[in-house]
Amino acid sequence: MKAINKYLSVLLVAALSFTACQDWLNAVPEGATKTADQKADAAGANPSAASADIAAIYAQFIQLYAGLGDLGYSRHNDFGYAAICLLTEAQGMDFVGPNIGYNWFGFSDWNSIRENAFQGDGRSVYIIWNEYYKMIHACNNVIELVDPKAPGAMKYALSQALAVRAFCYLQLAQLYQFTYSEATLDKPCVPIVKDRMTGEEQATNPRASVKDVFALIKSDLDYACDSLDGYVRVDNGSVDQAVAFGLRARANLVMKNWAAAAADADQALKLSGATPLSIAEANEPGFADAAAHNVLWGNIIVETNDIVQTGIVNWPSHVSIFFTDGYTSVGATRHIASALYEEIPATDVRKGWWLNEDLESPLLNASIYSLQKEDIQGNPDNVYVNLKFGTGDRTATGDGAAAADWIIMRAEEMWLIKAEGLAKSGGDGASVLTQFVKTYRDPAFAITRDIEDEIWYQRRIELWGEGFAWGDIMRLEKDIVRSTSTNWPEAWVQDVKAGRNILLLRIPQSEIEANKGISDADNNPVDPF
Amino acid sequence: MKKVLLFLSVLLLAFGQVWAQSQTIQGTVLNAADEEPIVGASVQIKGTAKGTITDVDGKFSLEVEPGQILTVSFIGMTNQDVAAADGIVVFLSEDTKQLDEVMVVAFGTATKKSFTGAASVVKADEINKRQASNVTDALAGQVAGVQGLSTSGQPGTTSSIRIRGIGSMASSNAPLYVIDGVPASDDDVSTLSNADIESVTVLKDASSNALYGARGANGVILITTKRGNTRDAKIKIDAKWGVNQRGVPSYDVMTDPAMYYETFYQALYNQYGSHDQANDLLTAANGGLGYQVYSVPDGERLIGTNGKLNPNAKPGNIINYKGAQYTLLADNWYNELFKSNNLRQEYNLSISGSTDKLTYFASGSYLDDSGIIENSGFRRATGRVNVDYQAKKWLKIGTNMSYSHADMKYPEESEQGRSSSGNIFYVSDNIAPIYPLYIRDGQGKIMKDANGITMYDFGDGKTNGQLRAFMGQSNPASAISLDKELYKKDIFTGKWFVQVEPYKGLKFHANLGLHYAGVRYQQLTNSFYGQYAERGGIAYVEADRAIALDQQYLITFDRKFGEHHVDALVGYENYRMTSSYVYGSKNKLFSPDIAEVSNAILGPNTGSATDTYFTQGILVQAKYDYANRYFFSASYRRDASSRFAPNKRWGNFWSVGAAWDIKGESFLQDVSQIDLLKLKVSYGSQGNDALLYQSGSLNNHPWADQYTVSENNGEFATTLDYKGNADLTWETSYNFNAGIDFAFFNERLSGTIEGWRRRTENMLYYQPVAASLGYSFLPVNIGSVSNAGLDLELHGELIKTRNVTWGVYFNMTFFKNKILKLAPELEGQWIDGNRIYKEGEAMYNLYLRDFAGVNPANGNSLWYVNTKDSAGNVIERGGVTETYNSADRYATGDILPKVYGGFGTNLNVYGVDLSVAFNYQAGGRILDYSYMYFMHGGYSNAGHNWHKDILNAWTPENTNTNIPAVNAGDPYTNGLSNRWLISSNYVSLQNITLGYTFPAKLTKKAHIEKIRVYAVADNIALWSARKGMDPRQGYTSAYNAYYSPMRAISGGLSITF
Repeated sequence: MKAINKYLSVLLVAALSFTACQDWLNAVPEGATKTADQKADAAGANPSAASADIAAIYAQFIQLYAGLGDLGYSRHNDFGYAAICLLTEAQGMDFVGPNIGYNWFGFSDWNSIRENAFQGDGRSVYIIWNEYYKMIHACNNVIELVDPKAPGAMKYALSQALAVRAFCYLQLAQLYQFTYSEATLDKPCVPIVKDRMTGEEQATNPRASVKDVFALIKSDLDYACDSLDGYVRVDNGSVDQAVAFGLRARANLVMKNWAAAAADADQALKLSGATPLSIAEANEPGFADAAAHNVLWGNIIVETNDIVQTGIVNWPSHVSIFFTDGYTSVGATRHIASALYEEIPATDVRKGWWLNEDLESPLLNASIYSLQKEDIQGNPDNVYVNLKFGTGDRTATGDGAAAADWIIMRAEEMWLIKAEGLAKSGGDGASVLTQFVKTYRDPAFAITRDIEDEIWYQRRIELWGEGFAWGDIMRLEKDIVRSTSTNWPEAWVQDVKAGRNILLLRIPQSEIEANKGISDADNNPVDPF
Repeated sequence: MKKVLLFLSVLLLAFGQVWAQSQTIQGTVLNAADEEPIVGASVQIKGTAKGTITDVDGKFSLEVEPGQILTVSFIGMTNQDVAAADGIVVFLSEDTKQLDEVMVVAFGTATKKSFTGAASVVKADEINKRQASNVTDALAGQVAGVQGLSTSGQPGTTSSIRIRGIGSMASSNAPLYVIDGVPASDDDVSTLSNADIESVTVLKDASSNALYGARGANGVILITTKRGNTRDAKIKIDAKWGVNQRGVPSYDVMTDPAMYYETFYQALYNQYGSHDQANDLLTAANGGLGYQVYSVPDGERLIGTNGKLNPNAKPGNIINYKGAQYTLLADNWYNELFKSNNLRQEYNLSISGSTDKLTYFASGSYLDDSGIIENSGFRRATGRVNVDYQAKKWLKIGTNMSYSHADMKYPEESEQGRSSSGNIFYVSDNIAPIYPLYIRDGQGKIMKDANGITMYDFGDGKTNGQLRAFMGQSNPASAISLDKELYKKDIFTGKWFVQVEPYKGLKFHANLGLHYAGVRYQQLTNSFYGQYAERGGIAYVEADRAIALDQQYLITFDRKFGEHHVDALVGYENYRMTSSYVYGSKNKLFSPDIAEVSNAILGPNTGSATDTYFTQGILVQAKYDYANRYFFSASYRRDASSRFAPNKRWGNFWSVGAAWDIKGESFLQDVSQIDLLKLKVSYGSQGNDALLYQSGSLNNHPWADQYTVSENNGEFATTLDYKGNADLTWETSYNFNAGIDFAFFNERLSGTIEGWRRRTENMLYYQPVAASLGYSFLPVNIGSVSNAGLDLELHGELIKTRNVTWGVYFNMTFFKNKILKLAPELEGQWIDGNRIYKEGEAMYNLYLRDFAGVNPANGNSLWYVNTKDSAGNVIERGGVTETYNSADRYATGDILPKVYGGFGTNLNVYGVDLSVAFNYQAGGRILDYSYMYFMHGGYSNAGHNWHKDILNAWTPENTNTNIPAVNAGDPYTNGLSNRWLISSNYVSLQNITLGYTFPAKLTKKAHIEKIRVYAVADNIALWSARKGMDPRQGYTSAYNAYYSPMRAISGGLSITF
């Protein structure tokens, strides 16, 4: 009978554990990964968790392996918006990288970047596409959460999401179709993914026309400009009303609404109070601090961010010569094209943003980085290398230095938009431009070019490396001329006339495979160099 | 107690009956192998219940009637029938019969004869022959249907085992490992000492593994550890010492600096058409190679107009940089980086035995398996104890515990298959033969720095002003000697069981299995040289803890009623695995060689997380046989997994099987050539819940949208990291198996032939969605894949005499894999990167441009394109193009091997034993990425080595070639295409063992039961389609950026007391 007791107790244990197990089946991750339920629960308990969806939009800008991480790839040119800026800059004519073993931003070979299969440099095309649409997804997430009629904080959240969504479409539009004009209005641009789309709509989503894409950009920004009134942000990392106006100024510039562009830019400057860097301030490496007085909007990047923690998968690693642990220190440095450099007058403070032929720059003398002077000048390959971009903590190496903000919008750009908008709408853009350059950059400045070219030239110098060059080339329909510079690597001296199909990125193969609304025939044509 | 009483009464009865005519005979029972007495052998008079057992001298005496036959038997020996006669000597030899062989199967054991499923057993002998530090390395080639892939030769890592094809696309294809009945992890397997393994059973079909329903879809590997089975304690000592070497050679790459310069010159010349420009660029930093390691007289060029090295050029070039002189001299990196002395040593000790009520086994082992590069290796100490105790007649308890500590030095960059500067295998194979490894002074002497550390050339321009075009600012030799990367693993596995038998044949079992793995990972990146030198070095430490508890409560009933035999099982099992980690890192090290976070001061970075997986299920199994001839089995298991949403958790899995022992039928009774002829068939289903992330790691919550909480300037940000699907449920495999087990000619020829088909339905699968949605994949259950094949296993005993035996074995698996259905949205086809998935076609089907050779007029590559006829119909490969991007892509068709397996032989001649084992596969193709990179045209590849085949590249003089001109301006000289597909056929010589066992007669005098000395070599040779290419790395591609597999050669000694 003892035996019976024994096995009864065995059964009892079994029965007990069976009931305990129902809970165990509901296992959840405990750590940085949260399920949707956990996220919702936390938002109920923790007010700052509730705003995490909005923060997610901005976090997406600086996400490590943002484009390809969920495909299982960790590419070192995949660190968010700044990486896209560098990729697009490299397609132009002013931003030169060497042709070495680390060509992460050697996105300069026309044939290889026009691949749309997931291989080689084609992967970089995927990074751009995936990252922008992830940002759009993050925006749509917020838009879906918020009742458009909600007041206060909710309205501000909605407005920010709409503004960033517009920003993304504006960027995409300039990569996938020729610029906004009567001739292109009905041409296919990119698929519009909006909030509250059905699965069916998502799966059969054709390329929207340029007209429709810009209509969405416009309406999203109109709402944001209105509704962000009164919103006070904690730092320059998010979109406020001034930024919304700045974004609409950009959109209007592309849409050739010249007067509106000028007015919006002016409004952005007024609302933000941002002022350009002075000549003295511009005589130092920088562009790494979103809190600076010339900044309207930037990605705020701190030491705990993954891109910083990797050490080398971040923008200072790829751009700043002062960053000693990254790709620039292995020779993957970023230079200005010699042709552009030679055009900068000696009186312009910006001439010092790059080393000259003799590896000299006043910036290096004045700089807090003077300790690195010898190393930088000691390398003959550093001719024309940029000193423009500094690092985060100027005294730190490593994470501190990589914790450098990426500037998305600054006062100088608004001045230039205002000048262009006025000039092209019959106003006195010339004097705005002269005032800006003389006051802040070159006291000896006088306009020597056709006004459009003069402004474009100023933009190329002022905004070099910041992700504007491609948009301007497309918007102004300029030829790409590399052959007049002496420092383009031989392999990439490939001039391209405006209007060639090769200028358009091709929609990734994966999108065509999965999106029944776009077929191979709908893609931008292959146009080998 | 009852049993004993019954036995005694029978004896008494028998004694009474034979009173009158009895005659007492005496006899001896000896072991045929060593002629030593067998103690406790049973001697029974055939046809009666009367008998006795032998005493300590192997002697017996028994009263018999004239003409009676005696049946002499002993566990593990073949029964013998002899005519009773006084003074007889009976030799028993070890039982090699397979018919009644007991094998370990799911939740119990079965005789081979009664088993309705497909399973193969690898015995201790075979496993112990191998020096593999991991039993998984010893499985492939031994068993039909088992394929081993090993991407890494790093000591201590586990091979990927695939059983009968690939049934899943996005979920794990790994089999379930079960050690002594408890589900086990890779860690458990890698810390298991081969010497402790009694047998490995590979379960291949539904009726064998449906009881593991939840996780049995990819097959189950049951590992059984040794137990005591001799009355007299047995002590075994085994020691071996040897060396490890690189097992697969390098590709046939350039080793002559001049050859490399000349070829690169040619590439530049073809780009620019200018002799001067090509020479200028050749050793320039930007776009060229940097480093001129030949000195040429002033005013002369390195390469002449004939494209050849200047005859006045001399190796070694003295340069001035910042006021100092340096010598640039090419080094052979491979020779410098690979260690020559790689001792391997292994010691095993065990003691085992049994008494009436107790069996015990205790063992200890130590393995030091050094790697073939610095700072890699595996050291492991393992202890194991298992004890079973029959406490009461109705109660049996037992435990089996093992503890293992392993130190693994593991330069992980070598593991990733990455073309990274930290990967010594990649760098040494791929670097052009022109680059110096060391910094040399003006006299050519290798320099040391102020710390006495050898100065390596980082190619970063800092010391000698030279920028290396390939892997600049890095030097793997420096990193490998100054950096540290190691794992310390403490692994405990324990199993405890209670078995209660209240009524004959009815048993209650409670089994508790515990797995604990504590792993401490330390990584130190040095503060002297390399990427993190400026930060003062980095220390990273991670502590992982994994604990798994498996509980089983089973009721079994095993009873014979006349000719009817019933064996039933009902049970409940749950398994809970909790894994967690905590990590931290800081930079700026105080002591340069201590890999601890608190040894550094800046940039703290920490994190931790815990994750849990839980599964539970009820299981039922019934087996029935009639007259030991007709066997039937059925099983059912209902399982829930925490990996699915609450309403999708449960899955039902089942199997049915039948076997017919034809030999047992009367019509075959007298056919003496046939020893076994058994027909078997089974069908059933199993589940798979192991959906993987794209990165390859397990996803424990695929049903939920997963967000990552990160910091956005002091605030939370939750970004979508993984799009889940709440409708997700079990992937189910339906498995059909039919086969014949046979043994002929007194078991001289035996084997199994099986046909199988495995159909996976509701595949866990990442449906590609348009990336414009903000995510690229959605996990879904859709589509199906089938694997069908034929397994053949043959064993032959060609010679079998008392002193000479010679056996051979051969096994092969044919299989074909086919996609039956894809997601409907895909309309029958999905192109994913270089793969194309098409309904009705194989899963491993590449989608590549089709190389059409070289244009003899200009040396450009040609690829096929589609054209259209006048009617607008597409003509595939109707034309060719020189423009890579315009070339069309085509499906390559199935690239998987059609057949794979192993063969070998065992020979024993008067104590000398020799065995040889080969593996092979045939009929497949593989993409040889290494070769592709070695055949570049110079574009963006300055400093990357070339395969010597490039010497046959097109030139105006050499137009009849299939290798395009090298041209540094052409990005597509080696553009990805089917040009890089090569046969994946191979034969590998896996093992040779040669041993000698001293005659028992000699050793017995020293109280030693057995002494054997031996030499063993593993992973000896590989014959593949291209030197250096190892098709065992994977199904689709080979790439020499992994830790190269090792050859191990040892000598050893084993003694049994």
